[in-house]
Order: sequence, then C-alpha cells, then structure tokens
Amino acid sequence: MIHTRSFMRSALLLLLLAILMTTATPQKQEKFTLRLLNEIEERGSEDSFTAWIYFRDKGPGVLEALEKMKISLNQKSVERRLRHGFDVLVDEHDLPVYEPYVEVVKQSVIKIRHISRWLNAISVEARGLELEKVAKLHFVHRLDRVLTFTYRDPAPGVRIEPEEMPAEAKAHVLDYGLSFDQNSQLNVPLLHDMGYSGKGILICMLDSGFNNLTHEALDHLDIGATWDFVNGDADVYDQEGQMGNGNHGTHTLSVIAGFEQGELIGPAYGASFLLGKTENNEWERHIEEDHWIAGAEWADSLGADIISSSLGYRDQFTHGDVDYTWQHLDGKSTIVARGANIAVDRGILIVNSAGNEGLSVPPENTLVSPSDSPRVLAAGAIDSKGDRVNFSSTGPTADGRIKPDVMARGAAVYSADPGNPVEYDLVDGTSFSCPLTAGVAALILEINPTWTNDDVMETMKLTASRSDSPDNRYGWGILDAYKAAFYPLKSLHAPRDFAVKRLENNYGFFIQYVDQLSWTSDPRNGNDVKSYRIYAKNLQGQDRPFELVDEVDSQTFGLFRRALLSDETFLYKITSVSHTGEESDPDYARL
Amino acid sequence: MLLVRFNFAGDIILGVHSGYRQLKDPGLKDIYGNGLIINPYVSYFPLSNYGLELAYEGGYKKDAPIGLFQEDSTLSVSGFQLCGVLRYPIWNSISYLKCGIGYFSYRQDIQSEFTRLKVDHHKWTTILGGGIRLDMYKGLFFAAEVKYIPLKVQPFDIPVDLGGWRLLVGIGLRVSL
Repeated sequence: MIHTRSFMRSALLLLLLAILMTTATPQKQEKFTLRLLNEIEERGSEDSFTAWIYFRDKGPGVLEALEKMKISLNQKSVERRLRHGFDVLVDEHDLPVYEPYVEVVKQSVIKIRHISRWLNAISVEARGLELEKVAKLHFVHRLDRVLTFTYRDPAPGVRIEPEEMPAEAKAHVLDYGLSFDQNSQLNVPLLHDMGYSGKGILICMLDSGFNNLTHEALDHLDIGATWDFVNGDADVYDQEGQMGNGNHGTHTLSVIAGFEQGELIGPAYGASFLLGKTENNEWERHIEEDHWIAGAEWADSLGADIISSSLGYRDQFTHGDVDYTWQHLDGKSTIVARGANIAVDRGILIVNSAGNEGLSVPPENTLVSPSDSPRVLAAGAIDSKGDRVNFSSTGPTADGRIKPDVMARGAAVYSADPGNPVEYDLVDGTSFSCPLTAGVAALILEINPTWTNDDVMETMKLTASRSDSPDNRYGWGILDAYKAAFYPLKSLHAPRDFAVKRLENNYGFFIQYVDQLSWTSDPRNGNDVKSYRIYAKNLQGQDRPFELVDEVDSQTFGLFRRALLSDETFLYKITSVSHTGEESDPDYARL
Repeated sequence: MLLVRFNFAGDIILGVHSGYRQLKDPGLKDIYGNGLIINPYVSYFPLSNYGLELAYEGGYKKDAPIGLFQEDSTLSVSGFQLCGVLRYPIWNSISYLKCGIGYFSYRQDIQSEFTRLKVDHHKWTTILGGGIRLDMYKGLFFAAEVKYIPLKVQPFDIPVDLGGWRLLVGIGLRVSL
C-alpha cells in the first residue's frame, strides 16, 4: 500500500513536471544571470554548480497562508515586531517557499542546500544541464550563482602580558582580568556595575563552528538553539568528516559573552544565544552566502534581537576571481546585503565586522558585505590605545555613505582558548570588534527595551568618540556603552542613507566639481518633518564651522553643491526639522 | 617649382567659399558636432603665380546642452586668415596651394538658472590648404578647396582641439588689372 502511494506520488510529480515543462519560456537563457551562464560555459554543462533558483511567487492561497502564519509566529518574534511598530505582523517574506515548486525542482537537481523564504528562492547543487531544465519551469523566475566569500583574518597578534591590572579595574564590581581593557574602552564596566548584562536579549551568532562550549568562561551560557548550516545538523562543533573549524566561533562567543571572574568577561554575558555555524577553514575562511541568509532567517524565526556576524565578500584582492567589486558595495547589490536588509526591516539589529581588508589598495572602499548596508552596524578595529588597526576596512560605500559605523577593540582581544577549557588567547581582527559591539548593543537594548534596532544603532553612533566629525576610517568612533544607553533619544530623527558623491561637471574647456548629496526619509518620523537642513564644513584649514547650505522641504531627497574646486572637501551634516521648529540630531556624509 | 612662370599680371580675386568644418576635439564634437562655415576672401596676385589672400571664416556657431545638468550653451569659432598662394594653370583650371597664419576667436557661453559662464579667447595658428578653380564665364569661376587648420587651445584645465579639416566649395570673380 505504502509502495503504491509512493509510486502514485512520484507519478503525479512527474506528470506535474511534464505539464510545467510544456509551458516553458522559449528563451530560457534569459533566466540565467550572466555570471552563472559564464560559469556553465566555462566549466561545461556536465559539471555541478551551486545555484540560487528564484521563484516567481509563493503559490496560490497567500492570504490564507498569512492568516495561518500569524498564529504560528514565534512569541519573541511577535514581541520584536510589535516593538518596531509593524502595521502588518506578517507579510509574504514570512511565508515558506511554495512546497510543490520545491518538490518539482528537487526531481531535477542533485541536492537542495537551503530554502530561503525571504528571497523566495532555493539554493541547489545541480549539473548545468539540470539547471537548464529547471530554467524552463514557468514558476522559476531567475537562476544565479551561489557566491563564495572569503574572509581573511589578520595574522595572530603578539601576546602582551600586562605587568599588573590597572587601578581602575579594581574599582568595579566584576573582576575582568585581562579582558578589562577591551570592556573599559567601551565604557561597559559602568553598566555591569549597575547590574546590566544583556539579560533577556537574544543574540544570534552567525559564525564558523563553536568548539569547546564547556570552557570555564562559557559554561554559564544560555544557548537557546544551535544549527550547523554547512552540514545540516544541530552540532556546531568540529566533527570528523564534516567541514568547518570551530575555533573562530568560540573566540567570538567568548568575547561577547564569556564570564570567568579574574579572566574574561564579555559585555553581554547575561544574554541568551543562538549559535549558527557557517563554513570555516582556519585563517582563510570560505563562507557561502546561502548559509548566511539561512542563518538570518533562522534567527528571525526564533525571535533574535541581534545578529552578530563576521563575513566578507569574495574579492579581487585575494583571488582575481571577481564576484563582487567595490562598486557592488552599495548596501543593496550583494545578496547578503539584501538578506540583511530584510532582517533589519523585521526589527533585528545586525552587527557585522567591517572587514580585515584595510591593507589592500582598492580604488575606493575595502569593506565587506553586508557591512555596506546602511542599516547594518559595521564594526571596525582599534588597538589598546584607541588607534585604528591598519587591517581594519575603510569606507565609503559605493553610494557614498560613511563606513565603518563604530570602532571597538580588534587587536589583542582577550578570548577563550577553543582548545583548552581553562586557557585564554589573544586574537586580532574586526571579527572581534563585532561581538564587542553587539554586546554593547545588547546592554543598550536591555536598558531601553522599547527602542527599535534603528534607535540602538543611532544612539551608538551619536555617542561614539568622533560623533561630531565622523570619517571613513573610524566611522563615528569608539563606542561608549554608558552614554549610548542613557542618551536622551529625540523623537525626531535625521533622514536615512545620507550620502555624498563627487561628480565632474565637464563643460568642454573646464571642469567644475559637484557634490551630489542624497538621503531618504526615516519612517520613524512619520509626518513630523517639515524640512531638512543641510550644513557643510570645509575641511581645508583648521576648525572651520559648519555653515547652512540649504533648507529643503520634506519631499526633497537630494541636492547638488556646484562649482567646487577639485581639492575642496567637505563634511556634510543633515538634520530633520519638525513643524514646531525642533531639529533632530545630525547624520553625516563625507568623501 | 621650376615650372613656375613669373608674369606680373596683377589679378584681384573676390570669392566666397562655404562648406563643412570638422571639429577635431572628441568631447566637444559629441556635444556640438561638425558644422557649416562661410569663408569670404580677397586675393591679390601681383605675380601671375604668387599671391596673397585675406579671408574670414565664420558661421560656426552651435547651441547644445552641456555638462551634468545639460545647461544651454553656445560655441562659436571664427577667425581671420592671411595666406600666401601659389597657383598653377592645368588645362582649363587653376590649381593652387596656400599656407599662412590665422587668428581665431573661440567663445563659449553657458547659461542656466544656476550658472553664467563665459569662455572668450583667441589664438594664432597656421593654415595649410589647396584647391582648384574652374573658369566659367568672363572671370567668374567655381572653386573647391581643402584646408587644414590646427587649433589646439587650453584656456583652462582641459586641452581642447578646435582645429580640423575644411571641405569647401564656392564661387568668385577674377579681375585683371
């Protein structure tokens, strides 16, 4: 009987497949992106590829499915969305990919890797010929390559043993041991003294594997769930025959949440955690974008408040095999940035390392994605003196926004030793600036439970050490957890995505330079904005003041500043002005 | 040169050419393009083969939107030319070569709500050309001429080549003194 049913199901599926094939679009190659097409041509259709298959829709009965989804949504997710003022609690992004589509594609491919409801796509492993067959399906919208990213860690730092703990370390409730500096640099101990530890905040660590979770600094942790997105199981530590290396995740986890008095204390040691494992190969890690998207969706479904992640795009500096160039780093072109933007829209605060590519000499920026996204908090690296570490990636983004956003310790960061339950390591990289920053965000959210992800990000920037003169090396500067947590956040906010691009206005005989300023509205402001004020400060010479350039109405989202000299550079500032004349805190842009 | 005859004829020629003018600079050519010119001239031949020609070149004045903001602009180039002419009769026609100097003015006006910019400069240059004249009736003639006038200028930051070939045809009147 079972055999008969199974046979019937297969027959029905084959029949459905046959019907769908007959409705194929004649120019199937139009569905392939150029990079996938090129790769198939280069390697031949018999070879196997990893590819994204995007579907046209989520099948019939979307409205009913949304109603059902409202009931099944995780309570923590509901709370987070309510806090972020969702008009509609669920939307099509929450709906799963239409199962019959997946089943049909499954017949034609070697393996399904991930299913992404956000992208309405599945990532598969398939031969070129099979992909061509899949492209004929009418419900398939587009096929693209799954890109591989590399994330280079800098060479391990030199271990420096302080002779004795600084006197101010003893003035706090907790004994931070050698982790005092990395916390005190961000003014974290003051919040710990007040009893805050990130309690009630759910943080998802998207990283490589997590070995040695029994380490003395980690054994207190509240780990809600774990998932290995590379190998498809719940074990996030190294296993024989599986890919990945679990050391990096142990380091980052211990930096954010370690707790061992006299040794290591992380800023958010009281938070709860989700651990998602991505691929890892020692110091040169390869991370595939579909793992990251799957991890972010998983974090959303379980109600995560914060995602702390380290990943970078596969870049021209390492391999010469260019998938993304600096021009793609505009916060919306890479697939991970698109995924991150969806996560941010759903109320998750994403903290991403800015990247360790600062020593590369690119034409513009050295960022990694998704730190290029305007609403992802990009963390750069400083040393114990507060100076930027030379490997820390720099902005601006391709569309002219300032990056990184903030700085935290990324050199000689004290962390748990993944190989020994009572030993500790010093590690380098923006990978470690990221969890320190995410830990600070957790403290701020604990103290201000009604704040949105944008509120937290805004206050972290506004209270950082260079908040009145941000640049593309330090961003808004070194975090100050205390100031940010108790910052009197205004109800009116500066517009979003403030950016500047320098353009050449060629008149034939001469060139004039033009700064093109652009911004978008911040939905948090509703209809409260009457106008936007744009100020400029000439950076030539010393301490010139900001001067008002223009005040434009609330429906204007761009401005040209014309007739500039080639060597004139400006720091631009923008504020929103309410109908009652109140002015918001500023946002900045500069070349 | 050995074929040249030295007769003191004393011809005066009045004529006008018109035709096509190349604008060599690729940037400005994309904006304004090549154009038509008018080229009145007067020549005096104290010797039957040698003469002097004074000419004016005008008519190149073009309007086009320019720059990032596609602002209204006008470019005009005009100039006076003084050339020595060597002519030689071949069957019913007279072929000639000329070379000399020119004094050219170039002017660009850019005007918009935000901008009012003007380029107004001059430059000396050289001229090289040649042509053929076909006598028609009682001193009236038809002429065709090719000229090359280099005119590389750089009034500001960008070097611009306003020079180029001229392909001209015209009519004239020869008066023998």
